[in-house]
Amino acid sequence: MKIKKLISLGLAASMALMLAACGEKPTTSESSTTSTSAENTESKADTSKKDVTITVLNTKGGLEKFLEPALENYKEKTGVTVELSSISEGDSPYEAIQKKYAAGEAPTLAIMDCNDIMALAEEKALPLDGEKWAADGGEQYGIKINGTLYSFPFSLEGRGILFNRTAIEKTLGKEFDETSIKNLDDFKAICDELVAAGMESPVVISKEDWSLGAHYLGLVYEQQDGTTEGADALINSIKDGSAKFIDNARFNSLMDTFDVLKQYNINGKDPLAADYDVDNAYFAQGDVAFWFNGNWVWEVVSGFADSDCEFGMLPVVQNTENDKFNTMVNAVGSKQIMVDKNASEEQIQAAKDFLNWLVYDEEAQDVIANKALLVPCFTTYQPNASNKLGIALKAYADAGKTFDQYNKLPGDHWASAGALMQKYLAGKVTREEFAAEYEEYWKSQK
Amino acid sequence: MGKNSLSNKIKAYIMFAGPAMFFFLAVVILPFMYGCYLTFTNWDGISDKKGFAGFSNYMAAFADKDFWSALLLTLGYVAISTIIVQIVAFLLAFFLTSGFKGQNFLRAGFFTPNLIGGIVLGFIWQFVFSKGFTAFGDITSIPLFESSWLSDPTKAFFSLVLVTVWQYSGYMMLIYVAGFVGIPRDLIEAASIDGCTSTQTTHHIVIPMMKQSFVICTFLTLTRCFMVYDLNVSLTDGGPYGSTIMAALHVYQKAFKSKKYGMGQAESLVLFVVVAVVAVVQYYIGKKKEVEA
Repeated sequence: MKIKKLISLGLAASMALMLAACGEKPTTSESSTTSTSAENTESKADTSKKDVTITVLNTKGGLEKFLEPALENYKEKTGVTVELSSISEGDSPYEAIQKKYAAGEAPTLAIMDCNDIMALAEEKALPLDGEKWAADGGEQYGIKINGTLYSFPFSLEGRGILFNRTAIEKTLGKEFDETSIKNLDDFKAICDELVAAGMESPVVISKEDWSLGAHYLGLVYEQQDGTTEGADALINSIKDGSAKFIDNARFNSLMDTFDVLKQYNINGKDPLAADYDVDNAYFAQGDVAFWFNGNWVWEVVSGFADSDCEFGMLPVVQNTENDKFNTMVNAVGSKQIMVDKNASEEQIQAAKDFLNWLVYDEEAQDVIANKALLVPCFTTYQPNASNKLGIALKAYADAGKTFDQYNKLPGDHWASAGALMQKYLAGKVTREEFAAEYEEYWKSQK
Repeated sequence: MGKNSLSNKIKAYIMFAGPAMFFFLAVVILPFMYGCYLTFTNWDGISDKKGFAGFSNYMAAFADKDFWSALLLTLGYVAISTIIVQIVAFLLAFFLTSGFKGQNFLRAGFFTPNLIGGIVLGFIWQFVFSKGFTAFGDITSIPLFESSWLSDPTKAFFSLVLVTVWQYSGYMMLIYVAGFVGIPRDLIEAASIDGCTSTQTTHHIVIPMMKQSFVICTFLTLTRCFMVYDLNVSLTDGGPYGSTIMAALHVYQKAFKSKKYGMGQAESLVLFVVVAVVAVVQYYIGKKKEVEA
């Protein structure tokens, strides 16, 4: 009998322990807090500078492991507790912040995507003009709506055709000068050279809908004439039927380049079975030379590549005449931080101080440039020397050869248009059919 | 004022069913009513204002062809999965009640797939379909396995069916086992004394007695398959190119990705009505045909 009692007690205790373990959130840096919003409202009455707590919603995958140790030091220096909560890879930032608002726990600072800022800023974000960092790069890369600066640009990200210089030079046995690739014909020529020299498929295309739908198709709008108005005009004319994609010169030149990429795609046999991690490995290890993607892949690629491997970025070259876009890459402050305008005064001040810390403090700079290997948007510091892709991107930015991202694509564009691009990638539809279906998508948008 | 007075009954009810009732109200009923309220607004999920929108969300939901095609796809998926699950589970249960050594161990073994959650299941099978099957296809050169099942719409659909069958057969098998074991021995004995062959016994005694288990298992499989979401997301995520978007996934995308919260909510209400009607009809038809021992 006694043994039975002991066993049942033991079982009950282990069940209770399991429940407690499940209830803990592993991503917050403060394990002793029970509720965040209750504390925040209480600290309004707090007169001393200490015990101010601000919350940060982090949607940049992987950042928390670099930032959290620095936040401990930040607390010691300033007395402000910064609680970080992060989403997992692949989750939507917009959905995460929706959950927070619904729970009444609006984060003091939220690291979001540009589209999200456009949707949320006027209602929820504090205007940030006049902050010191605005002059040092914040104005250029932060998001402005109707002339007011609403967000802090967190990291510079750009995309183009990434290339593995070492792989190209090894295969061809001669130096590779990327400025010699001026248009699509030059690109095709070098691909043919690589194939002849033994690299069977010099290109890798990832099947991910964000890569195809948001990044590649985004170029159609960004490169109409380089302005938001130009892109708006195209979309409006597609919506009312007065224009067709198949007649649009930029659409066709981009699709021509995409066709060439498809032709040399290492995943060509079954393009939709491509595995993003394997694509990273192909590129890093030199099985392919070119990959349409952005400098953010450096974190993964650097893990696969040899340390003396050189990488760079090419514009998405097209067979167009006198086209400035053949020498420019897209660059944007990809993650933007907005401040909750409904937070308490102390929290707002603490949030502004935190943003200044990110730009001017050496420790923060070290975290962002050297540990997280991000490219700063500000003139105050450079990316880490080992971040080959980051350096390539900053070179374009410093030379003024970047164009802006189009931020007014609807929230479901990357998924819906991405799905259409995937069909095209898999060869299930012709370009005409793809263009027609894409027009249908726009017409169904209000 | 006896033991069965109303106040005593109420007390007993509250004591035993109270906590469960409370949680059911809080987690199921209240959100449901809030959702119904939201279908009449044009809320986008974040803003502080919820404007009144009348029946426009319902009109939009009925006009949304993608929703109806997702629902149709789900119906097909439900029908095929339910039938296959019942057959597999019934056969498994039949063999595992024939009294051979190790049958208890096998019962536990077949049940374990059900314990793996939908998301993990999806990721494991994603690997199997894209890497495992294709490796098998390379070795044996069977055309069916040469490309990943997840990059073709029809094959992706059947990959969902396959994983569902794998997951639920064990659970349904257990219910059928209980049904088999619950058939009174004396009926079987009487049948064999009267000269029935084993096929006749199965046909005329075992299967009618199992009707209750059929009804329950079909009901459970039906409702679970209709609401499939986590497997859908982790295995195919609606791909390739949106061809395997089931109803629940479509509703989620409509509400959270397209930010049309009211319309998504209206669609989910329609889904609820459809599932409720199907499940209740199935249950009543089944009940009528049930046989009591």
